[in-house]
Amino acid sequence: MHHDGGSRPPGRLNEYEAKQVLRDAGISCPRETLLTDGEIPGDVDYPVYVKICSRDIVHKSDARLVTHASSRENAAAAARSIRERARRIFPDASIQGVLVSEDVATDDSRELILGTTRDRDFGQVVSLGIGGVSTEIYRDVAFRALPLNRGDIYDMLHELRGRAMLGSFRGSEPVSLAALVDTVMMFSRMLERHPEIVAGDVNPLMVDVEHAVAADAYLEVET
Amino acid sequence: MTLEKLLRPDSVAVVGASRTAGKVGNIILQNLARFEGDVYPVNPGADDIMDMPCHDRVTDIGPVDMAVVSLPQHVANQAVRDCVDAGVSVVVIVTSGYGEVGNHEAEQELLDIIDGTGTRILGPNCLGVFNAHTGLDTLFIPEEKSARPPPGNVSIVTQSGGVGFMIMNELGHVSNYVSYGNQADISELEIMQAMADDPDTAVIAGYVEALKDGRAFREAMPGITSRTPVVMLKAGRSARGREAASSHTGAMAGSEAVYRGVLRQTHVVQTSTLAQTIDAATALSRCPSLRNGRIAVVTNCGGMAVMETDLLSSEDNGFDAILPEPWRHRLQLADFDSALQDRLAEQLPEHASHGNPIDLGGDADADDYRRVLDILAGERDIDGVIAIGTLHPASIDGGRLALVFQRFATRYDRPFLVSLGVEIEGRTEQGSSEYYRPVSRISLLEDAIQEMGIPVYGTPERLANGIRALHTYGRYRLLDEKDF
Repeated sequence: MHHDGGSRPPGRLNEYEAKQVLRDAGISCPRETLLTDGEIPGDVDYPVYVKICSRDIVHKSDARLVTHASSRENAAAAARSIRERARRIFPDASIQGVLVSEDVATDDSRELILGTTRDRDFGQVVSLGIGGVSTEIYRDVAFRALPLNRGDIYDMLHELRGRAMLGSFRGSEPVSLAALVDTVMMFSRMLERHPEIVAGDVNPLMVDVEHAVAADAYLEVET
Repeated sequence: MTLEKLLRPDSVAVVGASRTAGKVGNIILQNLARFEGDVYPVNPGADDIMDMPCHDRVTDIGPVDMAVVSLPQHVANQAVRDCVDAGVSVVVIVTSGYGEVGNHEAEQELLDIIDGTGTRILGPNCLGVFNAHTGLDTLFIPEEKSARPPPGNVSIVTQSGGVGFMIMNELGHVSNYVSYGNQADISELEIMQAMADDPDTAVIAGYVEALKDGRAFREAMPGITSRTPVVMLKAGRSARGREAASSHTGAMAGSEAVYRGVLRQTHVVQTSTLAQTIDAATALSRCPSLRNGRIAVVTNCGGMAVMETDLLSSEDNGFDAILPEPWRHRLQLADFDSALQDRLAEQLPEHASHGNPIDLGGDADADDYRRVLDILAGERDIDGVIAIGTLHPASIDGGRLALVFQRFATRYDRPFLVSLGVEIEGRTEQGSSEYYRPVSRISLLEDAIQEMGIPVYGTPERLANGIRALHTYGRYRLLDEKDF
């Protein structure tokens, strides 16, 4: 990872920075703009998510620092109120801006969670699980140690109890297995190239019949 | 260096050999009476023990492959120094009081003693090694308390001496048994590598609380499991279980979900109970693995076949079908086409069911089984056959049925598993040294069928444990053939 000469690298990348690393690895992310000040550009497609962008704020949804906005006007208002709310409830947090991120969900989208952690026994591991609101209840997540091959990723999917939701499900066609497996593979190769990444999550990884997109992400690097 | 001498030493010294019945150094010497190699008692306080001349020190013997140290902890390390001086290849330290009780200094000292030498250490705090083929036996469990099983083709590697011993007894046969305790030096991975190289080992069954080196395991294990199936019971899955494991062997047991993933990744068949471990090892040591999951069931007891069907059936979840080939293979009852059903109908009693499961009816005899199995033997769309039933009806002659099974197993190159049900009465035979074993007509017949190399299970559940292991390892084999 490249950091400006002289400055100490941050322990935690904010969402915008984390997604730059993911994009460099070839992983699709939503089109988005980091507002540090000023106006939302004119070429944004709505609806969007408006989110606080800070290396210090971990659970931005829980703190109600994420808003869904369907127009430029709503998004601009949301950006102002989120910035104010963040300053009020996290007075010590350094804030890098407000992220306006196009909503990539389609009618067929399913939410997965793709992550990494450093395991005491096996070193860098990749996790892939069923995402969404019940993630923490069912803990339906498969782990593999680096390096991964495509067979390992198929087997991770096969290990998930809730994998039926990736197939024909509620009138939706099965998700694109190729897009999903490619994304996990790119994530795994990114971790091999960057052993300094000690933890991180893509949550949710939005997968539909065509694409797999990292809708939100954070990464932690060794400092 | 090679650990060949761990499983196949030509000579063994017992350091701390004792004349006193009941002492560890006496029990080990007694147990080594059947060892085909040379045995040397070592004890400076005795001239001879059990009619064998006793040596003052290991260095007095001359070349010796293995030494068992059964001394109190405060003098054990000095004995290990002697073993290094004598050029012993493997020192088995059964003594406890090391890392497992927080005495890490004494354990580190062991490593310092062998550092840069050709000597390796098994243990400390272990039961050591048993080889049913050569009679090598360092286990300090008296023969009269537990008779050793006859030679077989399953090797057991265990962090807990006691649990491994239970697995060995329940299996009823064994090739090598190695209890490694604190694994100060020799790791579970090195032991499994030696077992995979051992011509007498067809399957490795392991009990593990914490791996010595997870990264080395992840790297080397595929090279073992591609040659030899490995069944592993990973214990210490709960938070309290991990605590217990930590005080048991002084090693921390890792996260359950990560272990599960890495075991799948390295093609280890993971189990979570003793019964699953024994049942999986039994099936894998007697059957080829499943190439696909389509099973035929033949029975003279409809209820048992229904239960087996429930256990084997997994629903099509609508996703696995888009995964590549090996993950699409569900365990399921095979669909019989009309041609097969017609052929079965020609050979079967009128009231029998010609679908799958094939229910011969309660009045079936051994010949009915034979006719059905003859037909199934040639069916290439059936990947394995289960015969499940009861011997209680008057029409069934157990001996003849066993011969039918034997004839089928000889010509069938795919998995064939049997359950005869369990008999509750007449389980114990008083006064026998094998007092713990159920002894009945059925169990004697089970033994006879096991002798034929056919896996036999008491219940539909345990048979399902066996066939699931064949299915899992079969998927691993198919994956090994692919290049992802």
